[in-house]
Amino acid sequence: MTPPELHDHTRSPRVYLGLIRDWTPPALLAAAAIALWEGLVWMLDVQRWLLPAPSVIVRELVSSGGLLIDHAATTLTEVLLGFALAAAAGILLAAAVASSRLLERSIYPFIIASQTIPYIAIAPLLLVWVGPEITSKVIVVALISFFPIVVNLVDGLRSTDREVVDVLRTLGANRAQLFLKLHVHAAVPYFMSGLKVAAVTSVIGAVVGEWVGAQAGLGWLMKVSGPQFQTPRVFAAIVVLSAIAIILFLVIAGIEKWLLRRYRRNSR
Amino acid sequence: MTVRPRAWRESMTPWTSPPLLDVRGLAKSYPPRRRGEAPLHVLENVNFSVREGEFIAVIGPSGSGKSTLLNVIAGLESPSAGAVAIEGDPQLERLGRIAYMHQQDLLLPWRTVLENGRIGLELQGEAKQEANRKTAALAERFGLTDVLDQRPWQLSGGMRQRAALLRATLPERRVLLLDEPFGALDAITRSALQAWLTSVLDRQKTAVILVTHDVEEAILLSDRVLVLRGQPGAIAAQFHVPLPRPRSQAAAADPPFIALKSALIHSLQAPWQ
Repeated sequence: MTPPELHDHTRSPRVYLGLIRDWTPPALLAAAAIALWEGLVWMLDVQRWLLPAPSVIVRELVSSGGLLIDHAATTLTEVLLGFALAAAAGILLAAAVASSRLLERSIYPFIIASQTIPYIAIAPLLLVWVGPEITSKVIVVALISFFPIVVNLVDGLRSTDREVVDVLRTLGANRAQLFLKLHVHAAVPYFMSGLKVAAVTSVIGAVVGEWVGAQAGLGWLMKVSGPQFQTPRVFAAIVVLSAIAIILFLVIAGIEKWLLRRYRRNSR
Repeated sequence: MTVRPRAWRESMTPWTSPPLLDVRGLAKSYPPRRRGEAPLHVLENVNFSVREGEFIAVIGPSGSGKSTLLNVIAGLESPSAGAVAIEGDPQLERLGRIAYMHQQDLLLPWRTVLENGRIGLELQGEAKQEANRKTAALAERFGLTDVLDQRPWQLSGGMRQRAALLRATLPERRVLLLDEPFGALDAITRSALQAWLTSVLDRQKTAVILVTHDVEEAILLSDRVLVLRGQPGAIAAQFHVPLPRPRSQAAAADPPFIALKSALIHSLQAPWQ
């Protein structure tokens, strides 16, 4: 329905000006911080095993590129599998909690209690239970990530005004129809918020899992590089990890924007 | 003109056909929120019936239980005492049999006007194509054809109320409840929509119960005005509107209209138990 010229403004110079305005301050801040870091390291002659200069880290990123990519692939696999597991479990749990007060009262306390478990303590046990392969890491990722998904989705499934529910009831909707035609749609913005948080925590989960016991992965690489005084490599791994988390976040934010294009208020 | 419920019930003429909707001895109270508080009595001994094609206005101050009355009639809440019968059967499930439109449009923001309009048919399991066809056909009468692909938040308040009425009326129920349907609109849009409402409603089939606190709106649209007053609310008086329908805004200047309006206002303000 919308005439095509209305879409063209996304490519107009004004939008580029807007992008420049949005991104210039953080870019300048980052550049200043990196320059300060670089300058201080050279001026104070800090040993590179103690704190490598940014230029050293960049050089490490290039020279160990292949190694970093190999380990990043392992970590990314753990993150994606754990994330998918968390999303699936989160959807099931949230649907159960939102569908009945009895289930809510019985399940919700355990969901909250699960977040008080120190994963660093349980990760070695997982290693014993399921072996040193990728599975233990996937489980840690899922355990950390399902919580924001469940909590947000439960809120979302409950976010509908009673009056809107009443409108559909007077139109003859049964419980299943209310769930599928109303609650699920109303929950989408909340669900996507939960996924964005989970995207970041899932990377942390993978590192925790690898730290405790693994044969590969960026977390493992950091763990073995540190004691060998290969501090530039530790920092390079952190850069790659951050990049993974940011990209994952941006991908989900993009999907969110696409899904919420019809909701107006919730899409920014 | 103020008559107590019992008296006017006896004065009612026996209908040739059973009433479409019959409200008998209806009471609604809510249990106390906290211990030690008294229960909240919202409605007590409400009696009236509505015939096919009849347009009834229920008028009363805020807090007289107007919306609660509609919620009970719609089947959203169960009465504490008494019964509501449609087509003579008080056991019949009323959810899905009575159309209900609220003051807010309550349209689903992720659905277009077409998708919002057809949802009642969708819930009945009607095939999508057929539902779309019916929706588009009625939308034409409602003046919504040009906005069928738009979402509610792209429309003005008046258009959203039209879309809400489209959704309520598409499943073709025999009773339509209107809870201050134009209350949230500006005066100009409101009077335009009042005139429009009389033109789109199928007088032959639908019985309408309109809840409002606008005296003029009540007289302009209805055959009969019920005054709901008191706490708990009860029907304090009823007035027949002796003017031919449909009425234009100009009718508001007619002497009978003005006389009825002052009588109604008097009955709303007169001391009441």
